[in-house]
Amino acid sequence: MASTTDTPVETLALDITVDFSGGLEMLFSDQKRHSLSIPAIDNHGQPSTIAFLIDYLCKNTMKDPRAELFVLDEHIRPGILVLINDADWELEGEETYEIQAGDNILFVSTLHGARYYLLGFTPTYPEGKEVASGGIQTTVQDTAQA
Amino acid sequence: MQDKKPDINGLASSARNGVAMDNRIRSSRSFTDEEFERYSRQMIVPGMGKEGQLRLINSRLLIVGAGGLGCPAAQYIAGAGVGTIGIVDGDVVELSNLHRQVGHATSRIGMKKVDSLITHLRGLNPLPTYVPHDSHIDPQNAADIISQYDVVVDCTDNPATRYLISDVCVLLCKPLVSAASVQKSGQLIVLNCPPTPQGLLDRKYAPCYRCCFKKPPPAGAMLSCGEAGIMGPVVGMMGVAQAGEAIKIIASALHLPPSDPDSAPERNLQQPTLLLCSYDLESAVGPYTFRALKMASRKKTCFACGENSTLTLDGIKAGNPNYEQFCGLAATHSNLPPEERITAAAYHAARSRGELPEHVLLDTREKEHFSFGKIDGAVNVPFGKLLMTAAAVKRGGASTDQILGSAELQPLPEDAPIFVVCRRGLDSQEAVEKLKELGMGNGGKRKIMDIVGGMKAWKEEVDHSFPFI
Repeated sequence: MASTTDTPVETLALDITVDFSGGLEMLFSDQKRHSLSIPAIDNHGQPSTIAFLIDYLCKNTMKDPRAELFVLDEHIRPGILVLINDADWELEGEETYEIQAGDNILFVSTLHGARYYLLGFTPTYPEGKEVASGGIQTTVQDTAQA
Repeated sequence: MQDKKPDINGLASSARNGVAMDNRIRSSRSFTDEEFERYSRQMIVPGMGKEGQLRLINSRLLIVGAGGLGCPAAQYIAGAGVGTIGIVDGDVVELSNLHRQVGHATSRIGMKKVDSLITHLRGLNPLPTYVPHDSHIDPQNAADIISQYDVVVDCTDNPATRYLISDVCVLLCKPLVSAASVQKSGQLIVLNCPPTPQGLLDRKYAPCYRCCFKKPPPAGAMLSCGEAGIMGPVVGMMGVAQAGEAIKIIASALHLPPSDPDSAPERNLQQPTLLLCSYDLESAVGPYTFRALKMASRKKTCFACGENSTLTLDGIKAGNPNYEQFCGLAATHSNLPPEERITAAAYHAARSRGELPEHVLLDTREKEHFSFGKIDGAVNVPFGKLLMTAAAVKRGGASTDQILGSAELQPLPEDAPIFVVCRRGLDSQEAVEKLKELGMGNGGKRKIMDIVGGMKAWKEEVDHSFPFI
C-alpha cells in the first residue's frame, strides 16, 4: 500500500506570501509579511482558493482572538481590500480564485482617516461634547485629524 | 470669476459647459511678467507647457480639510498657480496639529484653519484667489460648495464625509482626488476621472469611492480607545501626492468633457490604481513601502454611479442616504449600571480620604500612552493584551490570575476591588464587562468598576498638569 512513488496529493503544498497592511498586521503578531506553505488541496479535494486561505489564516496564523476584525459571517469583513498579486481580487474572481504557487496575497484595511478609526473601526464616545464633524453630529473628543 | 450660463441642462452639465467655455475664452490670454517668472520652471517640463499652465490658472480647485493632508496638498497647488483655491474646514489650529499640519504656525494656534492656511499660502503665492469656507462640509452645503469648483481634493478624516464628497462629485461630474492616512499607513486614489455622468456604463469608466469601498467597516468593534496617532511624513507624502494628481488632472484637461466624445472614446481610461504607503519605523525603504494596486473600474451595481442609481442632490440634502447611519457613527451609551462606574474625581477623593480598601487600579491604555504618565500605583495591561489573555482563559489555556499580569499583585484578596481606567473611558467599560464575564467578581464579593471618562477625565477633574496624550 505504501509502495506508491507519487506524492499523495493531500501533502502537496503551495508556497505563498501573505501581507497585512493598514493596521491588520496587528492581528497577525505585528508581522506584515508571512511566508506560508498552505495545502494545495482543501478538505473537499478541491484546489485551495482565497476562501480557503482566509479560513486557514484564521485557524493557523492569527494569534489575536479578535477574528471578527478580519472575518464576518465567514467572509472577509467590509473595509478590507484583498489584492491578488497587487490586483483587486474582484479582477481575479474574489473568493473563488485558485491560489497558485508564488502568489502574493495582500489584505489591507482601508483607511478613511484617523478620526473615529483605528484599524478601520468606529469607537463611540459616551461622555464627549457634541461637535459638528463633516456635518455628522457625533460625540467626539480630542482626535487626530488626517 | 466665472461667467456661468444659466442652469438649463441640470447642474452637472451646466457646470461642465461653463468651465469648458471659460477655458476656451481665456486660453488666448498671455502671462504677466510675474506669472512667466514664477511658473517658468514648471512650464518648461515636457507635457506641461503654456497650455497646461493656463489651464491651472483658469481652474478652480477645492480642498476639503485643512489638516495633515490639506496643508501639504494646498502648498503645492498654490505654488503651481491654480487660479482659484477653495478650502473647507470648520476647525481651529491646535498645538497637537503642528507636527504634520505644516501650513499652520505656532503663532496662529486658535485661528480658524482656513484663515491660517490661507495666510500661509498667500505668503507662498499671492496670485491665486483664495476662498475660505469656514464650516465643515455636510449634506446641506456640499453641493453648493462643490459646484463652484472643477476638481475636488478630499483631505478629510472620516468615512461619512468621504462617502458624501464622493457622491456629490459623481452627481456634479467632478474628478476627485482622495487620500487617507492613519498612524503609519497612507492610501491615495483618483476617482471619477475623467468625470462620467451617473449611470453610464458602456465603457470601463473610472470608479467612484463607493465602487472601490462599497461598505465602510462595521461600527462597534473598535480595537482601542487610544488614539491611533499619525506620522507627519506619511500623511505629508499622501497630501503632496494628491497635489500632484490634481495638477496632472487640470494640466491635461481631464476635468473637462472631451470636445468630441467619440473621437477619444478611451481618453485616459487607465487602470484605476490605489497607491498604498506602508511606513515601517524599524527599516529603510523596502520593496513594499509603496505599492500600486490595480483596482476595478466603475461598477454596474454601484449605489452612487451605477445603473439604476437613485442617488440625487435633492435626496442628499433631505438626508437620503443617511451617512451617519451608513457609517455607524451614532453614539452608543454604556451598558454598565451606575454602581459599577465612578468618576475620576470621586475615585481620587475617596482614595485621598483613605476610604478605599486595598485595590487594583488597572490601566488599559497602550504602553506608549502609559509611559508618559499614570495614576500612582496603576498597573498597565493594554486592552488588546487583556482581551487576548481573556480569550486564553476561556479556552482553558490560562488562569484568571494572569489577566492582571503583574506577579506582585498576587495573591489578591478575593474582595479587593478592581478599578479600570483607559484613555477616554470606552475600553475600560468593555474591560469591566470582560473581567465580570470571567468570574473575577467572585460572585459579587469583589467590585469591578469603571473610571468614567478615563485619563482624560482625570486630567480635567483631578490633575490638570497630567501629561494626557
